[in-house]
Formats: sequence, structure tokens, C-alpha cells
Amino acid sequence: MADQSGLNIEHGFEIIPGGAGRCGAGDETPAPDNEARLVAAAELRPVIEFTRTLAKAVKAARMYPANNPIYARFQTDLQEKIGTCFADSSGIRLVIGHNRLFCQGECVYESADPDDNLARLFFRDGIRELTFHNGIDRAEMSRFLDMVRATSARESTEDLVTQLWDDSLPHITYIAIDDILDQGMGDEPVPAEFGSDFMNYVDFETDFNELNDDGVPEAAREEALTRAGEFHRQLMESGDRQILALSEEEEAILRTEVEFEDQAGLVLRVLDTFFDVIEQDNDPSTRGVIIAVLEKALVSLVAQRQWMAAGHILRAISAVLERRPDLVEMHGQAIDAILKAATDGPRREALCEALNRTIVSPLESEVAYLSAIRPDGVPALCELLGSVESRRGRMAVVNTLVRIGQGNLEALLDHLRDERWYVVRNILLVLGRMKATVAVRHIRPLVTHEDLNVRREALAALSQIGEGEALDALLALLRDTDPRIRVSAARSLSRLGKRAVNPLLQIILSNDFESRPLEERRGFFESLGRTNSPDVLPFLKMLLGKKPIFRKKEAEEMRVCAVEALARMRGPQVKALFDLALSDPSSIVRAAVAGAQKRHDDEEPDDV
Amino acid sequence: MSDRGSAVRQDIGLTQVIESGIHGMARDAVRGLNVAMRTAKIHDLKNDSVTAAIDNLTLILNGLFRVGGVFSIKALGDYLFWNDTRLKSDAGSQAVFESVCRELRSRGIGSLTIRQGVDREAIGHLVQVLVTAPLSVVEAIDFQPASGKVDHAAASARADEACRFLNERLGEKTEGLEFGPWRATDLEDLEREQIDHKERAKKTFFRAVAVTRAVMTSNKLSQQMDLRKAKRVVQSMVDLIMEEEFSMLGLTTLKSHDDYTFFHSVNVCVLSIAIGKKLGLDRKRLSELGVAALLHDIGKTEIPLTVIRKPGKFDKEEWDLMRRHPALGVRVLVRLKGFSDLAMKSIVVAFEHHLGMNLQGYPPLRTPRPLHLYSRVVTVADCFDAMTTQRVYSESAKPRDKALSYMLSQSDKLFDTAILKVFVNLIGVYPIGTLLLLDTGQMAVVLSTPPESIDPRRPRIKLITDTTGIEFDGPTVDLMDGGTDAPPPYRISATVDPATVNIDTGRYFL
Repeated sequence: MADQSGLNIEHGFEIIPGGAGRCGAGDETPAPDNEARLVAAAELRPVIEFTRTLAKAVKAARMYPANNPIYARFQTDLQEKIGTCFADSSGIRLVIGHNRLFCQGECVYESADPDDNLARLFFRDGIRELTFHNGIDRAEMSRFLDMVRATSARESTEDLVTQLWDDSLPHITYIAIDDILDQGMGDEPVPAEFGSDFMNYVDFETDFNELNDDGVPEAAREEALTRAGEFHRQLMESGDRQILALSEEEEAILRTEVEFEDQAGLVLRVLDTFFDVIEQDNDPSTRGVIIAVLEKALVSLVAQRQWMAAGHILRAISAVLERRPDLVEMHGQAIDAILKAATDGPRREALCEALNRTIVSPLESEVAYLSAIRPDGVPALCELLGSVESRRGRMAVVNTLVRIGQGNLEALLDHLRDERWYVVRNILLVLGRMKATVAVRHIRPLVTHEDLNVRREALAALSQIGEGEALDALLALLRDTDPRIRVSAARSLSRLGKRAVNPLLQIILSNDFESRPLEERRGFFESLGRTNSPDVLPFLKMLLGKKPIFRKKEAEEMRVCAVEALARMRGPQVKALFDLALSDPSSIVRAAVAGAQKRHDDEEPDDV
Repeated sequence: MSDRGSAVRQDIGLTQVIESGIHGMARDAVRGLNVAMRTAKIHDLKNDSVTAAIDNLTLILNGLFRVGGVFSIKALGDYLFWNDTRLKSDAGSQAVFESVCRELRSRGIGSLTIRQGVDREAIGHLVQVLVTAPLSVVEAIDFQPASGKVDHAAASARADEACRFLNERLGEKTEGLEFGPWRATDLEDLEREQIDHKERAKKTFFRAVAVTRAVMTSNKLSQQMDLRKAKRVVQSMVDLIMEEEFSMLGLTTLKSHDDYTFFHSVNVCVLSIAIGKKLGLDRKRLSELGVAALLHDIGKTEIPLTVIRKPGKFDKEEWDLMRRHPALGVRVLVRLKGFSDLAMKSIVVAFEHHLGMNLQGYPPLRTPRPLHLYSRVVTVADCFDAMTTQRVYSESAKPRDKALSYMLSQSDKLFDTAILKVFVNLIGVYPIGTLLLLDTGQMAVVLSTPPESIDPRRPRIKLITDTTGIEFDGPTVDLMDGGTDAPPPYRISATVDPATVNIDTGRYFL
């Protein structure tokens, strides 16, 4: 709207050409006399430099990422230029013209290129004055540049004024007009149903309106009206605002909600909303739209490392599918896409990075995500095991595989053939914890794997499975080249109880047994004792009574080993053998007996 | 921070409201002054609390001096001006501003100036002078007499005397400190400011209606919704409501048959922001709440025309379809670009606003969950505006006070009781726009509700009919004039349903 002088008067903002620091939107400024102009030009030189640099910085912001050194140089330059301006004043007040910027009535910036014109950028969004105040630091200016960049590239869903309003930059103030909002309004024809037809639909009078098909009983309606009237009457008679005062509890609840915004809670709430719509709404197209959004949401949440919320999506999908299996038929492809996305390449990378965190902090949220992964994610998690270096991260993945492995055992077993020994080792760990008996015949060949770690883990897995074929496989390990594995195999076998006695005795009675390290021999005898089989006692008794003239040391050691076996057994015969051993001529044996008896009295024997 | 283009008025020196970080410091200084005065009233000046308060005030003022040079506040009504710029209050500071204004006014003080160079001792002395002024010399003067007419000369003379006394008490030690007398004419300037505010409110309101029309129509026409303008106009509304909410609230009495949906959406937006302000939400969150409220019924644009236009009652199927509009709103809003906080809150509000506090509403939930704060706010606003709108197939719109009464009866079932109380406190037991029958036989419209500390039954009203019932442009009367002890100038006999007397109360807010 223009007044008679041709000035633009917009929303009460009077733009006066020249003089008083204000310039017309039409960029028409009366030329001051020459001397004044020269003085002004000299004074405004720093401002001109500043605006020129600002334009360059905005351009650089569009071209380079935030951490780029070239962009950083522009920002440094900009700070220097603005600092020069502040040497003489506390603020730089720019009046925004259509194509030019003005300061103190003089043009300080213009550009012929309409696509590269700072003034036009500001003018377009309704800014008519922009002031930079002394005290603005690099961070604040950087935020401003980000806003301008986003607006100019149309990246943002908000214009510059909205962003400035939202961010409340303390050292940048502006005057803006809203009349630009009126442009282009009212051009489209308005559908008629936006008028009185909408008023047909009554939202809130269902208790009191005959249109309510639920049919509120008359008594309930009367009661509500009476209650309403009574309350109103109280208020009218007392005039006391205390009737409407918030209780302490009400105030506390509201204050908490106002002061603390639960961001994580908001995300979960929105996700729950999505799933409410998916599950309850009968319209396939509505569900389709929401499901499509969920995939993007999952990707976005993982990218932001919001594992809890991302896991919530997966868990909710599982729950919905259980309650509404019919949705698989209608939206199977879309749902599959979400589930695949949960463990695809980029998600795995993000998980790997998170799990490899060296900072000692709980992996609670990552674990929450992992715990939501379904069995079809097993292959991906097996791959992940190959790249997670941190032990606790690996354990998180292992625990997940233990939980979901039964649903996709084949994928686990496939990875037992992986070339990477550490992957095989970890899969064995999973199978052992799962007590996957069907996996025994796949584990069994690995007891002779070339890698010691794998053989060890195969042993542990077989031990954990602990029955049937697994134990049979352990027999082979009794003869492993590594004494530690032999002893562990013996220990595991002892769980068989009586069945383990003969295999163990076979080893003990073998020719080379006495020449094995004492540690190993004790281990075998301990295992023998753990069988707690009475069949063992005659052998132990025989050993305790053996006191040859030659090879006394070896015999003494065997008697000590026998005592170790006894220590893990129970029964009156065991006590009798202890008493027998107490009279052993060797002080070493007697000391071993005393120690064993004490342990025997203090502890329960090991479980076989 | 922003200004929305207020006029620069050089004649009376009141400039547009500009808020910046510096103004935040000025607000802090006012708060600091309030704390110092209140503490000094209770304790001796040497008391630790008083000492700490004065130290804090000194610190803030020194910070301000480094930037501005002078701290000069002027009290006009319940508004404070700092260096000729009105300080915008927020939810947290409004009560403080009112308190400081009352303290100054009751001592005949219209302005207080503190210049750079004033030290801590001087500030302590200032506080002491302020709080210990003996009442026998400086009367607690009510400069807003009930009649609305001020004897300017007499009031000015008393204020001059009071300030002279106070300045003398300040003494020579306190160079750089000065009290200025209260002036009745300043109130007229304030009224002009208020008129300007009202004009801006009107413009913004109708602009919001137009923007809402554009947004909803674009969705109806399956075009990509662009919320930029909606956000912008909501921010303007937030600014206006933060300054003073009654101008915008008055406009919610406007109803339109042809543009019902848009007016309703804007009304719900205004009411929600006003409630949010009372709750203490900051302006960014107020703008989020406002946009969410504006879009709460966006799902209705997806309802087929055949259903909406059906004459007569809906059958069960059609009701079920209408009750899908929250879910349809989610469908619309997920198409918005980005997954911002604003988008998320809008989705939540669109979905939850008909659930009710007891979750017995619609749409159904898989598992119960408490409603979001914004949803609870919008539910209250939505219901009030819907109930006070005339329907085609139902009884007349409920008078505004009756609508409130019904809503109070449904607290905790449909509405959050606490938020409902905040709402009733906001719009008054005689809400803005209520038509009253007075004991004189005249009718009046409620213009605004009194501040919280005063009797809620005595609003500010405009007489619209004479004693014979003929409509006329009557005066504005504050029924609180004279205070709670004095009888009101008029007594309210009853509320009147405007439809029964064919009066459109909305036009009194235009």
C-alpha cells in the first residue's frame, strides 16, 4: 500500500526516504551534498566491507560444509570486519531495500545478480531492518549464516524471519513486516464444505445432544447439568478465585511438564500414534502412508543414534503383526522393508560404531535396539560380530543372537564355515549359550579346528550343551594336544557321572599319564571325583595304599591326586578313605588330606 | 529477536517494542528491583537476604550500563517501559511487572532513573527510600479512579509533591538517581498504544484466517502443504498475546458461517496460546503449540464431501467416518517435510485431541497412555470454541459462561482439571464476549477479565444498550473500580444468550 508521497506504508511502518536513517523500499534516496557524501562514505567504509564480506560468507556457506577450512576463513574475515565496525559504534543498523542495503541513508551494498543478492534475500522474507549489535561472537554469526544459507537454498521449511524468531539471537535484532504473507492468498477457490457444512459435525455435545447415537441416559445428563450449575453457583456466590486455584499437586505436575520437555518421550509417543493408526484404522491407504513413514523414521532415528526409539519401532511392528497378521498380506512388502532396514549396511555400520565406543558408558539403548531385532536379522548380526572390536559390544550382539537364534538357526550354522576364526568362535559361543543340541554335529568337526581359540570355544559350547552327542564329542578332546583342553574336556565329561568314569580312567591308566604335568593329573583326578561314582572308590583306595619302593615320588603324587578326587566326593566310604590317607607316611599326602578334609567339610562337592 | 512492524511514533517517544538480549537484562533488572524491595520490606537493610538482593541488582545494573548507559523505567498502567521501549513480559515476569508498577504508582512515582556510576551503596539507599517512605507523607494513591476520569491537575500536584520528597530523601549521596512523578496523561498514551495493539491483533487474526484457509485448501486440493506462512503468522500471534492477550481473545468471539473451519482453527490457536502463556511456556513452545492447535482439525479435510454435506443426522457409519478425522490428520501431517519437533507435536495433537482425559473418546488406543500437555490444552480450547458456535442441526450455541460451566462439570472426564482452571482464570467466569444484563436494565459485553488477584465476578464491560434496550455506543466500565470493598458501578443480573436478542457480540471486538 502506498501513500500519496509514493512511500510504502506497510502495517504502520513508515518508511521515510533519506534523512533519519530510514530508506524507502523503492531504493530511492535523495543525494546529500558532496562534502557530506564524502564524510559518509569514509565513515561507512567499514560497513561496506562488512556487507561485502557477509555476502561472500553466505555464498561460502552454501558451497562448503560447516567444518570446511575455506568457509572458516570467511567466517574469520567476517568477524574481523564486524569488529572494525564496532570500533566506532555499538551496532550496525542496515535498512533493507529491494536490491540494496543502506546504512545511515547511504547505500552500502548492492548486487546486479538477482540470484546472488543479499538484500533481496532479506527483503523477500519481509525483513526491512537488520541490526548487528556489539558483542556478537563467531558462534552467533555462524548460526545466522546457517539460517540464511538454509533459507536461500530453500532447505528449511521456515523463512528467515521465522528462524530468527525461533532462535532469538541476542545480538541480532530486526524489524519485519508480515504483509508479505498476504501475497498469493485467496487465489484458490475455497471448497464449500469448509463453511457451514462442517458445523454439522458436533464434537462435544454428545452428552447433551440428540444426535448422539450412544444415547446418554436422561439421569446422567441431568446429573451433569446439576453438577455444572452447582459449581458455577459456588463460584458466583463466593467470588473466590481459590475455588479455581490449582492444588499443589496439579501445579507440580504442570510445572514439570512445562519446565522439562521429554524429547525422547515425544518420539515414542509419535511412534505409538503411528502404530495406533496402523492397527486400528481400517483404511489401507492410511496405513500404507504411515508404514512408509516408519521406514524413514527408523533410518532417521538410527542416524541420530536414537536407539531406544528405533528399537521401539521394531518391537511395535512385532506386536502389531502378532495382533493383526492380516496386515502382512496387505502391507508385507513395506513391513519387510522396515525390518530389512533395521540391520542393513548403514544400520550395521552405525551399530558397530556405537558398540565399539571406548567410553565406559552403558550400552543400554543399543542393547534395547538389538533386543528388538527379529530372527531374520540373524545373518546381519553374524556379520556384525565380525566387525565389533569391543568385547562388551560383542557380548551385546552375542546375547541378541542367543535370544533370536532359534528362529534362524541355519543362518548361525552357516557362519560356522566362515573363514574368520573370530566369527566362528563367537558363533560357537552363541550356540553354546543357546544349548543348541541340533548344532552338535556342526560343532563337532570344529574340535579339531586349526585355531586354538576355536577349539577351546567348541569345547565350551559342547560343555554348555552338555548332553548326548555333545558329550561324546568331548571324548575326542580328552586326547587333544593341548593339556588345558584335555583337562577341560575331562571336567566337562565328569557331568556324565558314572558314564564318564571309564573314559577318564582310561586316560589316567594310560602309560604316559604319570609323566604328564602334575597340574593336568590333578585336573583329571578332580574330574574323576566329580563323577561322584562309587565305582571310583576302589581305584582310589588302591592308589592310596600304593607305596612302592621305587618311583616313590610319582606314587606320592598319585596319592595326592587321589586325595583331590576324594575331596569332591561324598559318602561314608569317602570319610573312611580320608582316615586311611591320614596315616600316610608322606607329610605331603597328609597335608593334602587335611586341606581336602577342610574343604570337604566347608563346601559342597562340585555338581556332577 | 523480533518486532512485527509497529509504527515509530516520535511524538510521544514511545517506540516499537524491540526485544533483544539487552532487554532481557532490563527485565532482569526489574525483577532484581522487585526482589530487593520485597525483601527490604520484611527485613532490615543489613539482613543477608536484603544484602544479597541489592548485590544482585547492582550486578545486573552494571551489566546493563556497559551496554546502555542508563536504566530508566517508566510505569504506565501495568506496563513498564525501559529507556522508552516497552518491556515485553513473559509468563514469569508479568506478575513482577504489575507488582513494580503498583509499588511505584502507590508512591506517586511514574519513572525511576539510575545512571551509570551509581554504586552499590547508592542503590541500597534507593531501595531503602522506596520501601520506607512513611505513609503519612506519601499516601498510597490510587491513580486509576473508578469513574475513569482523572483530575489531572490534582493528581499531578500530589505526584510532584511525593517525588520531591523522595528525591530529597535520596540526598546528595545518590547523584545519578532520580524519581519522576506519575502523570495521568501518560495513561492516554497507553490507551493509544492499546488501540494500536488492537489494530495489530485484528490484522494478525484475519491474516491467520487467510493463512489457515490456504493451508487447508491446499491439502484438500492435494497440493503440498507449505507451513511457512502458518508458522510466521502464529509467531505474530504469540508476540501479540505475550504483550497482552485480551485483544486476540476478544476476536475469538467472531464466528463465521462461511469460513467456520478456518475461524474455528484460528480461535483454537489463540485460546491455546493464551492458555500456554498462563502455564509459563516460553515463546518457542508457544509457537509450536499454536501451530499444532491451528492444524488440529486438518484431518477433516480428508472426509468425503458426501458425508459432510449430508442433510440430517449421520448414521453410525458416517459417525465412524467422522471420528476418523484424528487418524486422517496424522496421515496428512506425516507428509510434511522433515520430522521436526513441530511436526511431531502437531501429529500428536491432531490424534489425541478427542481422546478425553479418561481416554474414552476416540480414536481407540492400543494401550492407554496419558495425553500430551499440548493435546490437553487444545482439547479445552477446541471444546469451548465449538460449544460457543451456533450449529445447523443442534440447539443454539451455548452462551460462553454456560459452556464454561458445562466444561467444568466434565473435568477429569474430558478435560484436564488443572488446565481447565487455568483457562477459566484466563477468560473469567464471565468470559470475554459474554452478554450481560445489568441491574439498570442495560446490556453490556464483557471486554476482559480482571487480573488474578481481584474478584472474578467483576469484569471490564462495555455498555451496549441504554436503559430502554436500544443499542448504543456506550462507555467502557471496569466493575472493579473503587476496589473490592466498594460496590461496583453496575451489578450483573444475568447472562443473556445473544441469539435470543439478536446481538452479535463479536463486532465489539473489531
